[in-house]
Parts: sequence; C-alpha cells; structure tokens
Amino acid sequence: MKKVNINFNSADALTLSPKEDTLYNIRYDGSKPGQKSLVVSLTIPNVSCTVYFGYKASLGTIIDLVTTVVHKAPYTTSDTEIEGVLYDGGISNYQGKVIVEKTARGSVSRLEDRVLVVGEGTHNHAEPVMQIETNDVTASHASTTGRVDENQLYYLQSRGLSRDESQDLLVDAFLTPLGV
Amino acid sequence: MLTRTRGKKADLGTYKFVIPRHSFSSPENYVYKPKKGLNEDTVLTISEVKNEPEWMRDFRLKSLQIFEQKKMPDWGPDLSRINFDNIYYYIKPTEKVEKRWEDIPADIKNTFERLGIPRAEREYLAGVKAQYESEVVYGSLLKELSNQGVVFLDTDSALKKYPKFFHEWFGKIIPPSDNKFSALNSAVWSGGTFVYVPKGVQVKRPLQAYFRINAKNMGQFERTLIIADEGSFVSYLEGCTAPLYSSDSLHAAVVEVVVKKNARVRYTTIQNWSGDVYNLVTKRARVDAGGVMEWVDGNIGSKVNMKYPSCYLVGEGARGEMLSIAYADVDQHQDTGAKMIHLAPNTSSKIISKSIALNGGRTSYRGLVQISESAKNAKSKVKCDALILDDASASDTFPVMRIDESSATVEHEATVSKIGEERLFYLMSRGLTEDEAMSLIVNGFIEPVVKELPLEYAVELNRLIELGMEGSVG
Amino acid sequence: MQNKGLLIKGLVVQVQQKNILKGLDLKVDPGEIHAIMGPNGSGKSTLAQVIAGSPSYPIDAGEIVFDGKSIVDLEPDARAKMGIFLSFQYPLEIPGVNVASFLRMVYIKREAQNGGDQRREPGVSPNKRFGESVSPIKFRKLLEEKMKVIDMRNEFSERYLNEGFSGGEKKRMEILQMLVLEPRLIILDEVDSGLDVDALKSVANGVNWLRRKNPKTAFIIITHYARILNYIKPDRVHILQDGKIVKSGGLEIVQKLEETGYKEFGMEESHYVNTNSG
Repeated sequence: MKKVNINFNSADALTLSPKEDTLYNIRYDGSKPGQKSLVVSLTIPNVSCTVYFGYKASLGTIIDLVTTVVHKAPYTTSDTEIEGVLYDGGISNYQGKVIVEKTARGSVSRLEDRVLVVGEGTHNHAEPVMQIETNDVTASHASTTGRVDENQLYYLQSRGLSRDESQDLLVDAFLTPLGV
Repeated sequence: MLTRTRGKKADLGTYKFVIPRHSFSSPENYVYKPKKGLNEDTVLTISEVKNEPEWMRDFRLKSLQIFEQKKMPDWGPDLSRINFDNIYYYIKPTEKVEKRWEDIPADIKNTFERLGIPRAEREYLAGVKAQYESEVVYGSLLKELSNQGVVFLDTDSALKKYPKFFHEWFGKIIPPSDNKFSALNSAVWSGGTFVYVPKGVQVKRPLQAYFRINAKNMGQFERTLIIADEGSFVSYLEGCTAPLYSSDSLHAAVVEVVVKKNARVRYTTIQNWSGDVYNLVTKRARVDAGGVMEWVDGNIGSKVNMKYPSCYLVGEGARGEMLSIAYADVDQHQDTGAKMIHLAPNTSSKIISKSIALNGGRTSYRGLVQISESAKNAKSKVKCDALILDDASASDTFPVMRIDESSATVEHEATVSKIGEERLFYLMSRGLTEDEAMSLIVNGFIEPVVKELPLEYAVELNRLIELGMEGSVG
Repeated sequence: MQNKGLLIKGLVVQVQQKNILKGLDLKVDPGEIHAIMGPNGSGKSTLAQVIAGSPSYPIDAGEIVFDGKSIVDLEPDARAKMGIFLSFQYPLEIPGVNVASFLRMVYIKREAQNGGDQRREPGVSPNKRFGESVSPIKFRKLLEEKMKVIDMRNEFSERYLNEGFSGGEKKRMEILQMLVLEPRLIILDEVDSGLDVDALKSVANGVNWLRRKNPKTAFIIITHYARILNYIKPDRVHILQDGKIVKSGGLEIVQKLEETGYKEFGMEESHYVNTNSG
C-alpha cells in the first residue's frame, strides 16, 4: 500500500485522486486556526484508500478538520479512522463525509471517529455524513466520545502504575491505529 | 349533520357557518367566505369564528409576522413547489367541501379493501365524511378518564375551558419563531388534541385521537398540547395506520409535550398520508427531572416528510427516546430524525432509526445530540440503519454531535446497505420465494421499532409495508 | 413420492475466471450416506452450494439431476420444494426474525405444498388453510419435540434467527431446520467444524433420528476431518481434490486418511493434519 503523508500544519486544503491502494496519514497539531480539508476521490475501480488521523488537543489547540471521501468508481473501498484525545480545554471539530455515487457499485466504506476525553472543559463537535446514491454498497460509520474507563485505570494502578502513567498507557493504546 | 350553534345561522348556499354572537353589530354586514391565501384578514377571521380570547388572536397575528419574515430552510428536501397562496387556511370541518366517494382514487379504495377497514371508517379516512361517529363506542372510555381527572379534548375547546394551561405552556415549548412552519401553524392552527394528566395518574389504555367525540383531527394545521403532571403516565396514539387521503398539499402540525418530574409520556404516530402531501411537523418535549419521553414514529406516506421529534432534557436524570421507521417508495422523500438536547446532569437519550428506500425513494436521517456544559455524566446512544432495496433509491445520514461536557459518553453508529444475495439465498434455500425472503428480512429489519407499537398498529404497519413492497421487488 | 436420488455429471463451476469444480461426477441413491472429504480449497463447499442453487456459483457445464429432474435452472426455493436442504457452513444472521415464527412459516409452506395438490380448494391459498390447521401453539409442541432430539434449550426459539449465536449454536439451528423440514436430500457442509463432542453428538442424533423416520433420506456429509464419521456412518466415502473426485470407496478410505493424511492421495500431508477448517 502506498503511503502519503499530509501535513496540515502548513497546508489548508487538499484534493487527491489515488490511482492505487493508498494510506493517507494526516499530521496536524491544531496550533494554527482555520479549517483543514482533505478530499479523496476514488475514480479508479478496485482501488482502496485509508485515511488516518490521530491527534491530541489541549488548551490552545483547536482541531478543525473535514475529510471527504467520494466513491466514483465501482468496487472501491475506503476506511477513515480519526482518533483524538482531548486534554484540558481541548477543542475538536470534525466533519467526515462519505459520498457513494451511482457509478460506484460494489463499494465498501467505513468511517470511525473516536474521541477520548481525558481533561475538563473540552468541546467536540462531530458530523459524520453519508450520502449513498446506489444500493449495491456497504457503508457504515461510528462516532464515539467518552472518558477513559475507570475500571481499566484501576486495573493498571493495581499493578503499581500511577494514575497519570496508567492514563498515558491507555491513551497510547487508544491511539494505536487499528489494522494499520 | 348540524353542529350545535351558538349564534344565528345564515344561509349562503353551499357554505353554512356560524356567526359568533358578540363580534359584529349586524350579521348582514358580515360575510364569511373561505378564500385562499394567507394574510392578516385570514388570521383575524379564524380567531373570530373560533371566538378566541384576545391573547390568542394577538399570538396568531404576531406569528403571522414571524412567518412572513422567516426564510424557507436551505437544507433538506425540495420544498419549492409549495404555494402558500394556493391554500385554504380555514374551513370549519363540517363546512368542508366534501369529496365524493366516486372521486377517491382506485388505489386508495383498494388499500382500504385489503386492510379490511369498515365502510363507515373508510369514508371518514378519505375525507368524504367530516366526522366519525365515535360517541357510542368510546363513551364509556371517556367516562373512565374523566373520573380519573384526565382532560382529553380537542384543542379549540380546551383553550376555552382550561386557559390556565394554555397561558402556561402554549407556544412555550415550540415558539412561533422556531422555524417557518411552526410560525405558520401558530398563525392558523385549528384542531388537534389537548391532554392533561393529573399527578400520579396512570392512564392504562392508550388515548387515540378519534376517541374524541366530533373528532376534528384531520386538520392541516393541528396543534397538540400534552401535559403530564408529576409521576403520571400516558400513551397517546396520533392518527392511524390506514392511508389518509388528502387533497391538501401542506400539513404543518405542531406538537408540544410537557413531561413533569418523574412522569412518562409515549407519543406514537403512524403517518401515512397518501396523495401529494408535504408533511412538515414540529414536535418537541420538555422533560423534567426523572421524566421519560418516548417518541415512536412510523413514517410511511406523504410526498415529502420532514419530522425531527425532539426532547429537551432539562431536569436531572431526564430521559428521551426516539424510535422511528421511515419508508420511502416511488417519488417519496422521508427526511426524518431526532434532536436530543441534554441540559442537566445524568440525562440519557436513545435514538433508533430504521429506514427503507425503494423504487427511487429517498430516506434521510438528520439528527442532533447536544450535550451542554454541566450536563455531567450525560449518556447518549444513536443507531441508524438504512436499507436501500434497489439501485434507483438512495439514502443519506446527517448526524451532528455537539459535546461540551467532558464527562459525557456519546455513541453513534450508522449503516447503509442492501439486502445481500447471500441472505436471500439462505432463506430461499428454506423454501421461501424471493419476495417472501425480502419481506421477511425487511420485517426483521424494522422489528426493534415495530415491537414497541401497540399490537393492532404493529400488524397494520407490517401489512402496509408489505402492500407497498408487493410486486415492486424481485 | 418416488425418490430417484441425486446424479451429478461432469460438473464444471468457475468463479472469477478460476475453475473450482472441474468435471465432477457423483451418484447418491435414496437412503444412502456419502461422505466427501478433501483438503481446503478442493471445492467441497462450492459443491454444496451449487447443489442448493447459490447465485454466487453459476454452473459452467455439466448436469445435476435430482429425483429424475434437472435442477440446474431452478431457483433455491424451487430446489427446497423438491426436498433439497443445505446445512450452511456459515449460517447467516437474520436480525429481528423470530426463530419459532420462521420455522412455523417454512413448515407451513412445506406442508401446504406436500398436501396442496390433492386438497386444493378454489379461492383459498394452501398457506392460509394450513396456517389455520397448524396454530402457533400446536407448532410449539412439535418444535419442542424436535429441539429435544438435538438437546436444544427451548429458549432458543424465542431468539432471532442466528443473531448472536455461537458457531455451535448456529450449526444446531441448521439441524433444527432440517428436522422441521424433513428434506429428502441433505447436504451437511462442514457441520462438525467448531463443535465440541456434545454438540457433535447432538447433530448426529438429529441425523439418525431423521434417518430412522424417513429411511429414504439421502445425506452428503462434507467434512475435512473424520471425526463426525464416528457418529454418522457413511455408506460411501469420496476424496475431492482440485475440483474432482479422485477416489471413492468405503470406510477403509477414512482409515487410510487417519493414518497417512491426504499425502497418500497425492496431496501434501499438511493439508490434512493442519488447520481447523472453516
């Protein structure tokens, strides 16, 4: 799989059209204001793309991201995974669009947006959108927001780790991309 | 059928009407002719004919102003064909130009036939008769209710008999300024249901609109207000599952529900308008501490249906639930969803939305889960699944989650799919035909919502969907 | 009704330009139990699905005749009506469909179809009439008897079809469907995979029960391992390799397989000793 790194710390918007199976790795630390947009257009049949974005946001950082994956060709696959951790004062806005056009029969798309809240005073706004114009498709998305599991924290602490160390461990585990 | 009248009656050919006793010096100067178009005159006339208190008249006028200022929504289905000037905004039900049974389209009549609906009821549903003689059948039920102190009336009458409730809550849950169609309804509303359940009273049997005598619930601009006092329980069924034939192109109803501390309200609707109807409804509940609000929605009919029942969870531990089915056939657009606004700690919400699109229909889910700051430990779970049965049809999902409280837990999951060949093969290999297999899978798909409906509704809903699918699949 | 058994000749099935079955011949007479064994990728499951009429495996060439009639152009439900039943290797979940209701539905269809021709009444659909004669309560009794044969707890009938079922539970559900439908030709596609000894015994009980009730029932047991054949004794054993049957015989084949693996049949030893199938 081809790997492409996207750096939104310097860029604002990108539109891409992969010709082969590609993984897009987004890097963005939210330190500069403004919405960042990534558009991936699947125009070649049988091509698959993965968009991965992991972030940590705390006071002073605002993650404002839009990803759009458009399936235009048949038997294309897309997998979008956004994983974020919000510390005190962290703010994230994420809009994840998946569009499957009539010409994209047999396509499969998945979008997962997960936010782990570790601090206080956080705000997150999520809009995962699906627009499906053909029936021969499997599309799904999931968006979850929640705090660290107290039971897991307790378990790690009972093995001698401090609360902070346990939390860090769980945050790292959370950010480990699935299947990449 | 003659209505009980309070004033003099004058004869104007096809239109019989009632002159309110107090308003004009000489009856001969007053001519009420129902006419199309919406303006101050229309609104004033409506208020006059209903003999309403001044504050309601003023409320209507102000709402009209808001309506004129507000813009049409710039999102959602195409509403450009609504012509506000080409609508009769008020005709008393008994004066409605009654349709003839002969004019009712054949496929509507056939549906009635297949559903086994008795003749008298068919005429009512088709708008051929303006009233349903329900008095005999439901008289005893109504007595039981009044013994418990439950108030169950049409809104027009309730406004006169129980002004206190109206002053307190009318237009407070859904202000006219909420959206263009709530403004419209606030200006020209007529008919609808009013329910008040006293503290601690559990109403065992679901209340249905057509239990009311002289049921005036076929209105385009129905206004419903339900108040469940502390610790009470009531279940209300709006409408019915049989198709309601309407030549009215626009239905803009408003439903306001007040759920007080520890009370529980379940509001079930099966919307099955046939014809070229735009059904644009605003429904909202205010839920106090420990209260529970359950919206159960079946959306089968109408050309365009826009409905997003919502719950404002204002008290600690309040809970809101929305279960819905949307079914979009040829030329239909079901744009439905829910809004759950968490404003207090330990509140919880659940949304389950199941939709089916076929023959070029389109289903859209539009939802909002908002967790305000200080809604500590709020929890919300959303599951929306869409089935698209053929490649002419489509589906959208537009959920929004705004989470401003760090201790909240929010989960949202959505899927869009078709009925897979493998599944069909599995069922067919057990002897089911392709049609039967599809039908079974679709029934299984909507089962989590259907099992929450009262039995007769569930049976009829399944039948309606089967009828719709007949011949259109396989 | 007469049952002339199954006859397959020169079956060729291609999937995505690859030949899976390359000219397979098989004859199964009424009342016989045949075992078809072979390494992974030999085409065993494909064969099972093709007989049942899966849309995923269209037939390129060859004939399948059941009960004297060619079935290659028949839809899956038409084949089911003829009495063909496939126990799926991976049974599908059908959410929201209650097990008892579903089984009653397919039972009524089968009954109506069997009795229909003789007792046809104008204007009354056979389904409706039999529906009335097989009330849910009556069927519940019937169902409980059959569930007992395979040691299945009654509460399973309250659940949704295969939803949340473990692998073993799904296989038991397949056998329950078999008992309800009482088919004439049954293909068990790797029914033993993932089952513990108790579950395997239950499955065998189901098969043997049906055999005793309808001795003319034919069975094709598709399996990777010989374990199930300790509980259900086949009359004939075939080895399927590379899309064709390369060896047929009696139980002695199974013996050989146990001793030497598939190597003796021209395959790599690892094919037999290795992975759990499924």
